[in-house]
Amino acid sequence: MSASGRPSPLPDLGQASLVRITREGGIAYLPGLARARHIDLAACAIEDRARICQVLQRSAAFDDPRCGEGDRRYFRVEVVYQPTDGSDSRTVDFRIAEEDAPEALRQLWEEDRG
Amino acid sequence: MPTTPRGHVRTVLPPYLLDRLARHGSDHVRACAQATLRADGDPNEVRRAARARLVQAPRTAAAVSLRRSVHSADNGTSLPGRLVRAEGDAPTGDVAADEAYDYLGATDALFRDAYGRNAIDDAGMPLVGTVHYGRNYDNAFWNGQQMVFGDGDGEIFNRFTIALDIVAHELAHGVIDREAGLAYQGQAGALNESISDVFGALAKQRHLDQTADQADWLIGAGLFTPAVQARALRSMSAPGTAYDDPVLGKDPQPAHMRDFVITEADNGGVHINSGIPNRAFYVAATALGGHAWEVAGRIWYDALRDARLAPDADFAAFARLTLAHAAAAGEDALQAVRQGWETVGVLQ
Repeated sequence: MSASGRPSPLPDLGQASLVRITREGGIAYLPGLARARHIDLAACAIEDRARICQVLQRSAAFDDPRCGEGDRRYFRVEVVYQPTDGSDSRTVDFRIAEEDAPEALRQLWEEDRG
Repeated sequence: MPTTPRGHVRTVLPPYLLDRLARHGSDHVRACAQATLRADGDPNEVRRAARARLVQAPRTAAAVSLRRSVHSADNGTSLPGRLVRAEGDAPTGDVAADEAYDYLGATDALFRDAYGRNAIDDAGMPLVGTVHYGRNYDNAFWNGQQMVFGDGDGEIFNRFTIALDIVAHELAHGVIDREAGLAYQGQAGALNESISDVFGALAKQRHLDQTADQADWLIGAGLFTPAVQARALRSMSAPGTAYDDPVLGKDPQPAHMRDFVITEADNGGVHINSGIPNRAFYVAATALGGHAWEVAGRIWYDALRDARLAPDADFAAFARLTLAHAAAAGEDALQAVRQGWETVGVLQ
């Protein structure tokens, strides 16, 4: 369950292929400062993939869809995954208030942004 | 206006309040307060005169309940942090703390003196601000209970208390939460942001005693360092022109509905599409002329307080409410407000 009491928004991360992390919100939207961190899980070493998935699972526990209100900053995490039923890939996203975000998520966002 | 309660003053006014009324009240209130201040003699005479003359004034005298407290997070993130200045305390010498104190007061004065509102919740809620939040923190926000200001990184951003309209913008979020509770998503969220900008701009204009044509209509002027090519965070008169810089990018705000930005970022573009209602207010206020907070601001405030404003209201729904309240203010107001919304394509 997440902080909001909802079920975890994450799919089976074994099926995840891409992750996109952005820091959003704040008193203005400044496009030059809104760069996202993209992670191609398929291209990651097994250890890196395991570490990243662990960060995602820890972060998802703090999912709060209303966390951006009043100019508060938050992290938005999008995960692209392949459903096990063979249908087209899907994307789920969740949000974590900046003050609730695990330090590991912040570090993941700061790594090699582009 | 129909939805705005009009309380009456039955209280004793301290001299500092009379002084402020003499400078910032309505014509009638200014005259009364100036006359009262001219009266010399014992303080009881001043008080009796104040009570007699202002008994029918709007709820301006609720200013006696203004309660500010400014705290320092000391570069941490615990809130509210260490108290550094309480109501009535002398300046601290800490620029950010003193700016927060003064600008919270200026914003409160707009809501209290111009609209008769008693603090954020209209029931005397203390105004709590925290400065020095985090390290090099590039933001200011309202967390549902208080206002929070970062110091900025010093490279792109200065401290976030530097601009009165930013302080007022955050306080206005509290007012909006207590009134319409506009959802922070899509058009309702952009309205939420725009109304915060409107009262932010009005607080600054009133503090500087500017008419609509004298104002810069910028939000966050002074917030950026000279290292970036940016006048401000937003321009209400010309959305999309506040900055154009290699680091910041280009100001993405549209000025017309035909350029409305559909995006999942920024809670559905709440800080982007707010440019549209921002410009509608600017057009209405400048068409009316004079002090923007007196007629145009009053109309926006009454529309915000109108029980018909739904939490998921879109631009057109809010526009219709402003027209309803403008009609009560007279034909000139109605024409100016209609012109504003038609200029930005919200109404045809």
